[in-house]
Amino acid sequence: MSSEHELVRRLREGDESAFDALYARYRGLVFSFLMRLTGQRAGSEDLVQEAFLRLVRHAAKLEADTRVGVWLCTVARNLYVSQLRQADVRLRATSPEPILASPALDSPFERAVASELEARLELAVQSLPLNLREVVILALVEGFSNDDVGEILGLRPDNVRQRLSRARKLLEIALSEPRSPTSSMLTQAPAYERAHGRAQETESDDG
Amino acid sequence: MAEPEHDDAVSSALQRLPRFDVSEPRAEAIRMRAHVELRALTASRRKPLLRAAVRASELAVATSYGLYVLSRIVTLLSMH
Repeated sequence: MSSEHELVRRLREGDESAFDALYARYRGLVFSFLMRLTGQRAGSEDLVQEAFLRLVRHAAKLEADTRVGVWLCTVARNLYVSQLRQADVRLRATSPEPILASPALDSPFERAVASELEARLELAVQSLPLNLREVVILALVEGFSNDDVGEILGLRPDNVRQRLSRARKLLEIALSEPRSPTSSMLTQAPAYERAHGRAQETESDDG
Repeated sequence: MAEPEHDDAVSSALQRLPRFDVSEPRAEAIRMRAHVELRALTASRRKPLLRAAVRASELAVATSYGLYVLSRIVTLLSMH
């Protein structure tokens, strides 16, 4: 497997196989991040496409030591926030599509074993406001360091830690509730932050 | 990647959540479109280079012809 630096160097020269390698490496990361952020498959696929096309368009300007996963998540997140701010009518009209069915759990047996906890976790994450949800997805689900999360979201590491702490408390509360109230969040899934209501929360805290 | 501070029960459970993936037809469509854009951008970056190379070679030809003419003039003048 080629190193990331090597792939970036080849992509800058227009090497299509380097793009394919980076696409295979980061497609799932970017899409999962967006799916949990937006709660919508179609919108997430559009944003994945735009993020990777921007990678291609900026290929010649990429630094040799660019960390492509961080770069792509930064672009994807900014695209999403930008969409929220523009309050696109088409997206507002789209009904929420809660994340419940995991593609990795296709057999009924697997689903019976794991789906209960996973569904509760997904719903609990989706119930968080955007500014906490994005930190949780990046740091806890995708395993980025606090420094990387700060780079992606434009936050200082101590702000990332504060948000994580607040998010953990909210998640514990959500997960400790009986199942029915948690399930009721399904109908309130935050897809596209009900257009743009929560987008403003990204700017409203952390001083 | 994951830091030691993320070792509580909720964090551990979140780390085990599965990845989602783009549907296969859409994933392939994105890949193909990216290839098209990459080819177009690479070609457009090469065009100015090609033009510069042609211009440089034209300049070289003109310069060498100029030097030839100049040397002929010097030769003719030296004969008289």
